[in-house]
Amino acid sequence: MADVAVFETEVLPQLDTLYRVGRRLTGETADAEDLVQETLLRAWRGWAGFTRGSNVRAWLLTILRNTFVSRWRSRKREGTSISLDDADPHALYLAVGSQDPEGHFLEQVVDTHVLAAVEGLPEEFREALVLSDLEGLPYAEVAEVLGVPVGTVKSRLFRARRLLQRQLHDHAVELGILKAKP
Amino acid sequence: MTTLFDCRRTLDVLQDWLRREVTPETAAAIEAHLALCAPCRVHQEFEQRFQMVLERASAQERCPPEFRERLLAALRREAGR
Repeated sequence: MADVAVFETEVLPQLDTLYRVGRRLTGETADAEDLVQETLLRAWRGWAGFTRGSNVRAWLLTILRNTFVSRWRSRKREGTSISLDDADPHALYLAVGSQDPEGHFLEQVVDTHVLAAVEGLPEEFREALVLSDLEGLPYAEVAEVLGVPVGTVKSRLFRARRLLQRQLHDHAVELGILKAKP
Repeated sequence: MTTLFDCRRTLDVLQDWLRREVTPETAAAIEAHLALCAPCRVHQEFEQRFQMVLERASAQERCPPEFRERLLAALRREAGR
């Protein structure tokens, strides 16, 4: 029998990451807990197949993401349809430009709202952004977890960041931190 | 010789550059452009602040200790089978 203590030593340092990614993917605490628990049990069952010394974080996140796709994604219809101004992806920056070019308004948006805005992103953008910009994975590792080329990761991140900046900007306008553009 | 980037090309890869995800050639082209272009340096500050806000928001959150305990219990049940 494989040693569960060795497994725990490898896996438990990744628990905060798994939990946060689970929260952002499912948007719910209870679902995130179910997702992380199932991920850990699947990881344990597959532990014999894990190559020691390879990237345990990417391995676990791949299991988590695959579990999410098979168990959760089908349940929840994609509710959001935010469109990105494809004609000028830098439009937001230009719009904010005259008022707050350095983006100080971003610091006034509370963390819970930042996270809620992330959870509101369309799923393929959200998962790339969470792994890269919230968890700090290199693009190559994001690509490995999502099973797509690095170029795809880059273009999803580009769009995800612009969408999120737009959301945070609109939120700052609602709160009166920024003035609405006439 | 360093390739010349205009503002648009610089802004398109600014975030990738901030995350050190560009080739050395692209990095050199961006840095050469930033050295000469004040508006793009302001945009750089905007993107850096955006990244910082995301990291900060995320880093606050930890796996709750009681959930961690339940997880370990479930894992040990599974392992004990």
